[in-house]
Amino acid sequence: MAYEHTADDAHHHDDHGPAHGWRRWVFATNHKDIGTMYLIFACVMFFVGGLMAMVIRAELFQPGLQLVEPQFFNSMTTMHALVMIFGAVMPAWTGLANWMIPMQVGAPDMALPRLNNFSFWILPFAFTMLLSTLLVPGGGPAGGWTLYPPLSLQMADGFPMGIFAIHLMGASSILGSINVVVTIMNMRAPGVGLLNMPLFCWSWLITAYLLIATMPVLAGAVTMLLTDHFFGTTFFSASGGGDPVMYQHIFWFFGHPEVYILILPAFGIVSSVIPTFSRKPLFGYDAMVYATAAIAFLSFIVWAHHMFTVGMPLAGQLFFTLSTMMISIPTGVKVFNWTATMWKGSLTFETPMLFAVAFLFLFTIGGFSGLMLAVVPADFYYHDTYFVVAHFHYVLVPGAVFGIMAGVYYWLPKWTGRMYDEKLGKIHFWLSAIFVNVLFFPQHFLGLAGMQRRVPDYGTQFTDWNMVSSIGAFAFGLSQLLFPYIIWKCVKGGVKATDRVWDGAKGLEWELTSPPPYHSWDPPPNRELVARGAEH
Amino acid sequence: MTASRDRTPMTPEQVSERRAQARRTAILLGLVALGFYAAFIIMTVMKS
Repeated sequence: MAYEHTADDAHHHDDHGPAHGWRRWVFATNHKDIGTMYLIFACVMFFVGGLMAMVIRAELFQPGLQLVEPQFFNSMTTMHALVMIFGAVMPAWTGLANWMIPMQVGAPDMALPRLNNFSFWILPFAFTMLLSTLLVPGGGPAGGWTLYPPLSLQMADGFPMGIFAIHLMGASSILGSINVVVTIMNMRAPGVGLLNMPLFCWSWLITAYLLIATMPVLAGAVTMLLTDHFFGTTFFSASGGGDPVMYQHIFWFFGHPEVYILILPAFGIVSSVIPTFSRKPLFGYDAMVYATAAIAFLSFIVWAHHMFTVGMPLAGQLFFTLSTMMISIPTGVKVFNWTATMWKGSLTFETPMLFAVAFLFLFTIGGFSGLMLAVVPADFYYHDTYFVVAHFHYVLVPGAVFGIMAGVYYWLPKWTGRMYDEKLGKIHFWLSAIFVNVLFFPQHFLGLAGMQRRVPDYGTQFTDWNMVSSIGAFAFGLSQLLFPYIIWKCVKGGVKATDRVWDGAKGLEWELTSPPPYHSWDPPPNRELVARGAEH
Repeated sequence: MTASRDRTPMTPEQVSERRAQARRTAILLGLVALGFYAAFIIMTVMKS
């Protein structure tokens, strides 16, 4: 590990670079190399999951069955969710954490580099196994990403493969999270206090605790599914004294915090990007930290709002409605503080800022529709309709995915030492921002009109908005091809970037060269440099 | 970008202390994760 080196040999340490060829990547222990692998993996999975979304939207372009069998359609909806959540968004956040956390806290590397390598390399095996289920008899998982029994127990040969893949993804996430917590708690340079580190570190620290607490719960649930399927237990089978509703409680005890796992790091990125391009300090730093912690705490006590239609006592309905609505308070604090940061700022709208501002508007739309779903009588109507699909896609696409885009465009010049093509970046943004709304906004209307989710066919009255939504999906999907092209063009021949890159940027990462040295902060920065980084 | 005066090398004692702390924190968090895994299975066994 890099930090094992002593002061005396520190200068030798700076001299050596990465290994060459495939060994650099297979045996990688450097946080930047592993971060790059996570980001490339996430990008590949984003397109794999996106391709599944295209199949779904192509089938739904018209009523009737056109392109795929209903069973395969259900596999597509299930696999699209699993791939996007566990294969695209979560690894993208871990990649960004790997790249940025050591640089932002003044550490030479992540605290546990070998564990870091292991947690990454689990993922390609997990997803190869998950995607292979599409090729085995009976096909892939088709009961929805929630894997509710008894439906999920009816899966054929792909069942154990899918369950094992989920265990592996969970293990990877837990190990990655342990690394993040250990790095932030133990590797901060002198002067980098908990209440003056960048909000990306804070949001990831809280996310990591959420992951450590909830991923084992999902693992427990799917382990019990496995034993119900193969070993004769009846955890979730009423015929043997078990309870399928128990699975739903356990799943959503994981599933709701998972939503915040997907979105909290985006809050951290937006909290860095908006002050930089407003040329003002973040409004209410402490309030932002406490709001993030409050959201994380509340995420543990709202899970049953996903299950109102299952049936529960009136007191339960009231509790879960009110606790869900309470989440809007710390979230409102955040939206207010981002807006207040921009107020009277010297604003410019480079690509990262455009994605951050779009995040602010569109994530808030997703938040508002979430409030509507928290109201029990209304939820009885909205439940399992396209209104729910529109709601969580507004949270996850212009929320989490736009947050990732903002982060990548913001730090790409620092990582590569080269500027990306700003014009192409803006074209990518405008195409994404327009078509994400063409894609998902009509789904609110479809849901309110009564169109059910997870169906390959629908009544003819839903045709028009489905066509609009599908056109939006194809255009959004195509416009994302610009993203890897812009990155490739930047890496290959972008204009040389300065060390600070953005004139309003603050933080330790901007005190390093662009691109940063192989071991970022070895030896660590002293207090004067940390203070200077915060002032800039 | 930063000059060598901006960096303070760590002593071997500081480095080994940090390593030990990192190991302790990682083991503790691993045990917490295992605890959640076991607790939810045990809870379901008790309920069914």
